[in-house]
Amino acid sequence: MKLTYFLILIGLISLAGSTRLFLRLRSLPSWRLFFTTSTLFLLSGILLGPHGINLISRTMLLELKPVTVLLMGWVGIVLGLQLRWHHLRRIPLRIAAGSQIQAVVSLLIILGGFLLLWRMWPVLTVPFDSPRLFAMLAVIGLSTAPEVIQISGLALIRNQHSFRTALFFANLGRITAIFAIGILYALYRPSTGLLPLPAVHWIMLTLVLGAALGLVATFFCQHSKDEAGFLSSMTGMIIFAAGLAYYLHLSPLLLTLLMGIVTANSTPRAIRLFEVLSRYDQAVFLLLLILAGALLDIPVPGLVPLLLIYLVLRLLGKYAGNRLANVLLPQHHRSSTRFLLPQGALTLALAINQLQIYADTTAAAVFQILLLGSLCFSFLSLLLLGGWRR
Amino acid sequence: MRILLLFGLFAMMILLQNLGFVTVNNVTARSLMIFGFLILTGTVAGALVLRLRLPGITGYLLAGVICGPDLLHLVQGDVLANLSFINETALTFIALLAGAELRLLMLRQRLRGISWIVLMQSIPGILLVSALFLPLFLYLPALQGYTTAQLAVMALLLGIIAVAVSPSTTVAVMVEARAQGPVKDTVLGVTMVLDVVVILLFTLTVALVAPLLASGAESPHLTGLLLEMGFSMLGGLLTGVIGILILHFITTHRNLVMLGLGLLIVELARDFHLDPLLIAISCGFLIANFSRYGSVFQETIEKVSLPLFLVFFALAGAGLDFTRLAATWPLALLLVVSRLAVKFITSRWGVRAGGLEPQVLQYAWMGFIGQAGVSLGFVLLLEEQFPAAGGFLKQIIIAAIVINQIIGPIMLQYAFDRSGETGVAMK
Repeated sequence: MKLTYFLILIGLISLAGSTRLFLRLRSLPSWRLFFTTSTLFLLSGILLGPHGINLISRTMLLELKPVTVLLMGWVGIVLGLQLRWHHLRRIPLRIAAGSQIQAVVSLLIILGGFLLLWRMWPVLTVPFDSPRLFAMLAVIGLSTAPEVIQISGLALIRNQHSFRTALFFANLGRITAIFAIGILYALYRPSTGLLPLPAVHWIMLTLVLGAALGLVATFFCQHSKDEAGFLSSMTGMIIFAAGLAYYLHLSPLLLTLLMGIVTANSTPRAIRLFEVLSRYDQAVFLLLLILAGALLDIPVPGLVPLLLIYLVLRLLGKYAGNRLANVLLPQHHRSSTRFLLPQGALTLALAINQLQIYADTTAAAVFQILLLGSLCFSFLSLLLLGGWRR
Repeated sequence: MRILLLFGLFAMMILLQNLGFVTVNNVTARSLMIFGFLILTGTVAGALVLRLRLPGITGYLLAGVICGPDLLHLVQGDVLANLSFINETALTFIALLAGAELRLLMLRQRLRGISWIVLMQSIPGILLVSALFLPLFLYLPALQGYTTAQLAVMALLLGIIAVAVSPSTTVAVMVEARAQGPVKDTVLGVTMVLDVVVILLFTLTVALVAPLLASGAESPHLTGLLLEMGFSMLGGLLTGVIGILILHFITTHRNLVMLGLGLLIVELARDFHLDPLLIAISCGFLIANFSRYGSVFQETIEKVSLPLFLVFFALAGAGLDFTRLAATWPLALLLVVSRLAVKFITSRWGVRAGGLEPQVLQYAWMGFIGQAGVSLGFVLLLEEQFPAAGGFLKQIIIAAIVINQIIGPIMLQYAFDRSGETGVAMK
């Protein structure tokens, strides 16, 4: 199948999913978590891809890089636009600190665990750039899908405060993951095609570009008169920022996130921008899930132990991180680990992005582990949250 | 403030491309970046020229010229080639809009007038330009070695090329100006019909005079062309039905769905060797005239197509060859002036014969000046048929197209302003 037809097909599936199908199926209690964690769309991608009915070849899929970069740019700016200082300062300090403790502990446990096992059995990761592999898994492993908490929350969490804490943990956790991956990209630059600059310079460049783009976006936000002009200039901003990130091998998610943060805090019209962009949010996430599914490769046997270790370490990391973070919080505010396990489209967006930036066996291994891990955590969440029973 | 922003954006791009952060030429990444950059600079430049009461298109073209190979070198040949799909997609959207604008009622009311203008432009118009250039061709040193008959064919083909118009310019200016009224209806109708007539005339002429050319180049087949047109219209009707069904069943995210429809037309046309413009015109026409979704369809397409229009015209600006213009400007200017005169005279003859309104008589001719895609295609065919002289003629015609592409949108905007049709659609 030609690339355009494939894109149209998966675009239609995503739109149908985000409008009709998704909403209807979500209301079926026993299956809702399955759809909420969007596993259905990941599986659709696998089905359509080279290992399913083979509608599109792997080489052609890799040509979709500009599309995925754009989708990530879209996700980044939508997330950034939500981070208005006006809202952020209302988050209780304990919860903000708790979320960061939870993130740092999870990261240390996953990274530390992998490094320890690597010391013990170096043969485990021979074909890969092990430190990068572990760091990527640890960082991307931080992210949690807040949608699950939102949908299952009211039914499962009897305590409203606990529900809010879990939501904050998930939302702040994924922002932390985006920033952390931006730093990782600066530390591990692709070996060819880039000026050999120190990591700090790349981080500074990302920050400066993000801020500058945010100011430009603010200008367009304030000066666009009609709806068409507004949409057009904002589309231009996202394409430009995503293209810039692609060109400089920076994280499109981080760059557009920064752009969104600056815009959100510079102009009140950013609310309108958020409203316009977030209309397509769900469709963009589903499209990313389908693409991620289609990109799945049959894992090499060496990956299976790594996948199992990742699952155990993330489980441990989230558990320990949550327990430690809960120490800061009063009893009725404490969140539950089981809500922090499911991973959604953002995790896979980060996984695809690192695959595109490094395009090597290590990046492919990270992608496979995260994709399969995401599937495993979805099923695990279903069990832990009692989705099958209800 | 806008000027500052424009300078800032250009400075940012120049710095990024010249500081050498990236040592390997990644055309795809650069193309994506340039795509977004052209939307932004086009938007700012468009807003700036609007203050001078010029159409936004002039600003988009200007942004492209500044970014192009003659000035800042930001958009180079590889990026232009990589972004060519934008041109195809934008043209498809322009044609969808054009089709949607062609309302049956309007066509019925103006059929006589439109037919007369097309007739006057395509027969006396072609003959006038040819008659003017034939004596010149006989004395031009670059064209020595050709027989008088061959030079006459060359002059005839030049006449046909000179008559060709640019539907993309017409539709883009019309949408931006939110024009509504007899001048707009006449210009749009004539542009659409003339586009098809000129293609047919060019193909027919080349097919008829093929023995005279003796270039060895294969002449296009008229039957093939007619079949292609027929199937394209059929394809358009089919995609129109798909479009109606989509608009009926999908009520949200219509922007994205219509973008998908446009891409589908481009891809289907490629796969089945059809004309995407004819498919899109027929599709738009069907939806606008035979369903209740005409206005929704038009609104949605207008929203989706703005960034595409911006990049399409900016890329056209970047592709304008000013070096060629500098080398051949006297002859190019002669061609432009004679074309202007011919368009003025023949349009007025047509309007009078068709009994159209006085404002149409006064201003409609200004809508037929823009020239782009089709004419460029003809130039390449001309070069193929006359290998020795083709290069010389190509230089003159392309240089004239550069001028027409710049003055065309300005004149059309002026025509809408003066006839009081600007902004009427919005009201």
